[in-house]
Amino acid sequence: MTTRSAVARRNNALPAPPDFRGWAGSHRDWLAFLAVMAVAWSVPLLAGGFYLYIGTVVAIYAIAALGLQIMVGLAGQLSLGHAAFFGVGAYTTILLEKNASFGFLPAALAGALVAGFFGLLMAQLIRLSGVYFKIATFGFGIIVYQAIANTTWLTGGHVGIRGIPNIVIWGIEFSSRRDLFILEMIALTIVYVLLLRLCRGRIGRAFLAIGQNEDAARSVGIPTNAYRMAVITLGCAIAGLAGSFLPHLMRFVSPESFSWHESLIMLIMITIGGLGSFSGAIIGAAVLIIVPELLRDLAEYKMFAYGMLLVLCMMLMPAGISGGLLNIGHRVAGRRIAGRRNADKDARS
Amino acid sequence: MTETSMSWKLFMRKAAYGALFAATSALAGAPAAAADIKVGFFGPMSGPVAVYGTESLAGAQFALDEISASGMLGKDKIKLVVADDMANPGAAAQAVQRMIDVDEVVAIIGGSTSSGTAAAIEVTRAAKIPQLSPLAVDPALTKQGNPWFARITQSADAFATAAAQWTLDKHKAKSAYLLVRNDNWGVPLADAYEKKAKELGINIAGRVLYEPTAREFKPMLSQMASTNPDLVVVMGYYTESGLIVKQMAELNINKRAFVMTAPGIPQYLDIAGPAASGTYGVLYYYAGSIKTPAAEKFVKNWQAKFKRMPSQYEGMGYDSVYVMAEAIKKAQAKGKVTPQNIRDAIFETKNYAGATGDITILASGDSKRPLPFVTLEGKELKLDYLVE
Amino acid sequence: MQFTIQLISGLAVGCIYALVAVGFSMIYRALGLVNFAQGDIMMLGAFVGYSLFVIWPGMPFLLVLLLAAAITAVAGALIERIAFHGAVKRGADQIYLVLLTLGIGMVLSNGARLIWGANPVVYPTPLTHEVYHFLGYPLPAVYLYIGFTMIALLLGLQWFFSRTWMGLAVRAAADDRETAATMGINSGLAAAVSFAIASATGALAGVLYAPITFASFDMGVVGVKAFAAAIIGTLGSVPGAVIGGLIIGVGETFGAQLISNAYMDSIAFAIMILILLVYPTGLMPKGRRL
Repeated sequence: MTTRSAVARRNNALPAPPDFRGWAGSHRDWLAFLAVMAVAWSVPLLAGGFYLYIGTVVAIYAIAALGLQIMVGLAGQLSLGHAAFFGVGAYTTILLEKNASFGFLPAALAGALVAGFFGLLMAQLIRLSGVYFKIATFGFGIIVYQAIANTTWLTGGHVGIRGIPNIVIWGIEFSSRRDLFILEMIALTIVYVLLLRLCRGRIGRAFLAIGQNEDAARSVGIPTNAYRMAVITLGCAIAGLAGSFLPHLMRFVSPESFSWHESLIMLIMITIGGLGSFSGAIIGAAVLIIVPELLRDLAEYKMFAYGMLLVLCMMLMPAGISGGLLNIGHRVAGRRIAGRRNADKDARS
Repeated sequence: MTETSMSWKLFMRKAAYGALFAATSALAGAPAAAADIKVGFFGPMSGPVAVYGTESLAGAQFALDEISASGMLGKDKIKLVVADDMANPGAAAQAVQRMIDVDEVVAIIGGSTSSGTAAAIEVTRAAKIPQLSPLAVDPALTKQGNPWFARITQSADAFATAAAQWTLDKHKAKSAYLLVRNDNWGVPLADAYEKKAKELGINIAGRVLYEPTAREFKPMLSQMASTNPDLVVVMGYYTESGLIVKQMAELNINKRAFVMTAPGIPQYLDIAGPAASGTYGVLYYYAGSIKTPAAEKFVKNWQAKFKRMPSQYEGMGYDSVYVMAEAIKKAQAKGKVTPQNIRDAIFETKNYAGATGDITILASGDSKRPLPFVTLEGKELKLDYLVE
Repeated sequence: MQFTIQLISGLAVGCIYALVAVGFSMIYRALGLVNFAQGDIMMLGAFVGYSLFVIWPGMPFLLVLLLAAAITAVAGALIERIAFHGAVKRGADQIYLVLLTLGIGMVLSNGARLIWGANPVVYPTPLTHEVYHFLGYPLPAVYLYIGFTMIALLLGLQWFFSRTWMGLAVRAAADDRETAATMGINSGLAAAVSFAIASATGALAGVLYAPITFASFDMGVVGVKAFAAAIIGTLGSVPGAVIGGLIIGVGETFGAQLISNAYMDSIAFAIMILILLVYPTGLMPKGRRL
């Protein structure tokens, strides 16, 4: 394919963009973190009731979205079966809690590990180039979903599992909605912070390099295959961790929550939030969960609207909401952004 | 930001209304003014099984209109809060949670699919709000000792047990082959049928699970034909049932087929074509099969308005609202329309003369009502057997 | 007897997969685009066919087939112009393009649901239930149409790509856009034509599949297995897409019987993954193109 190298040549012909890395860059990441977390923590706690419930749902999907974001937005590894790993985490946790009397923490950890393990399995397919890999991830998602749905003796199949026990950590039971929300938000905060730290470090920068231009990364000596496998495993493990909370919120778990449809919704979350942006992943999750509630009567048009949103976003605003906000911020500050590609780089916060 | 301001606005608005209401009542010194009794209604309104939700809603609205016109509840009116669960458990749980927290419903009618209903009952049980389902048949729903859930349809156990009995009595069939949709509609039905069939000495020649997205059944059907069963039992949605019957005809497999609720749905006829004639089914409700005054009045009024007979889902939606309304009326008589009173009243429903037959709610939450077995002659539905 | 019936059935479904896969491969070849909306374009074609039957009852099936293909081709070209042209030209990231096609697929399927309703519809034509009997084997009449269409399409595409100027132009633009441009080939036009043809083949698949089952807004999932087919046959290769389609169709049919019906969807992808592990770029040898 000539497109990539041709474009790279074309881009180099543009005037060098001002460098937004440096102190403004690193502070921007943490500023975004503080802003988003402040809202995410305070609003549901203050408003209470149903808003607390929604806040917990958003937090769960936000964690899963973060996992997808490092895979797709950062390292450019498009996974079309993410919800399956979400489900693996959910089922592992619940089965261990119910059948083996595990406490929540070890069970959730196990959920993340098992999901990560399946992610590692899927990562074996990376020796397939580009599009082959993408479709293989889709197939993998389907196979995992069907496996969950059909191993009835283990997972109860389509009938689902009910009678979910309350979360027990070190002997203390967390049963109220507020407790669950707080636990959830603690998990989200920890994951977000860890990912931000990761991004600063060598590993994170390697992910970024692979995402921007894999061949170039390899030519600089980065062992791309190892890092690709690592990011996929990590992203899937994070999804598994997110999944471990879901049954405790719904008090029920069934395979329908982990279908291809759900994977697609997660992709839309990170896209409209802004590919490559962690705050964007959380914003995207919030938008896709809250907006349908506001427009409850228009439920019929929801999926159609999502499709249109995705298309329009890709065509007009590829940097998503977070990129859009950033653009506005830069406009206000009087700086110009040269080229769409650079807008994406800056959006990585 | 938006959330907090929205909740503040809501709160201020409620406070204002509350103050106004209190003031006017105090001044008027009159007995309680007409109140809106909020009842939630959820079901799949979009997606492949939207027909269950939209049609039962249509029946519900029809019933609501009748109820407000007749003044059955005095000055109070039932206000229906509708939500789409998209047959997805997460969406169902969220929708129901919102109805309880934000809309402050005192009762909920809902659950057409088993997965949506299973998720919802966890919420209603915890919140102690009574839930009445018009269509969900999963037996597990009433086996948990949940006092807050009841349904006006029989459970899959009852459906399948009656079907097994009918297989033997009406058709003298010695063997049956089960084609089962692999989800929580098909599998519980198949389990219950198998259990009863074993009791009655009917041989299960085979049981195959197929994926909900399957469209090609010929491999399965050839295998089935080689075992030569007396009856083919399909436990799936009308779409697959139609395809199965059609493909059976294409393979020249000439066996009696029993396709659950499919014959009551016009598209089944379209999909299966001429092969649909001669197939058997059992419906939630078969318009015209119930000869009680309430039932005939419903059919007559429905025909007057819509120029056609009501479908099984419309009938069930209608009755679910009436059973709920009766319960609300009893709660009114007790003095307060609270979730607890409504729940108690629902479980006291005995031989309620509904449009779909006499309904009795059992202690487990299951119901006892007539079950019509039907067959298709040409394009006409005919009653085959009515289990009272 | 059983074996032959399964085989015929598997081949028929395989042809449907093949038709969608051909379109998928063509678009990849010409635009470098993984078009996840291909299955939904098939669905669109099926519904266009249905509407044609509704507007003109009694229309001959062949006419519906051709008209639906033509209409969908135009729609496809429009979609390409509006949504993809700009993105592909500026060399947008693969991920963006994939997400874009996913979005378009959603718009198509949900739009279809809003227009034609959520209930499946059956083609109101005798063909839906017509069955011939040949040497004792039942043969739904539609299968004949499928067979003829496949052959006609393959011959037609072969002729188009090697004998007509437009076809050669499309191939040239696909191979090396810039050099082709210096030869006076408008790459934009070539892209639009490729998309139009691919949409037409997708529509053919839809119109041929609807009489076997029915048309529904979610029938695009059939297209997903077609992706596996296109991949097995090496993306970009038309003969490969056909072979891949037939492999999946037949493999799925026999696999479901031998392994488990409950895992039928997984089998298609398992076959694909297994083949890819041995042949990472699909079955067709490198260099074998359109």
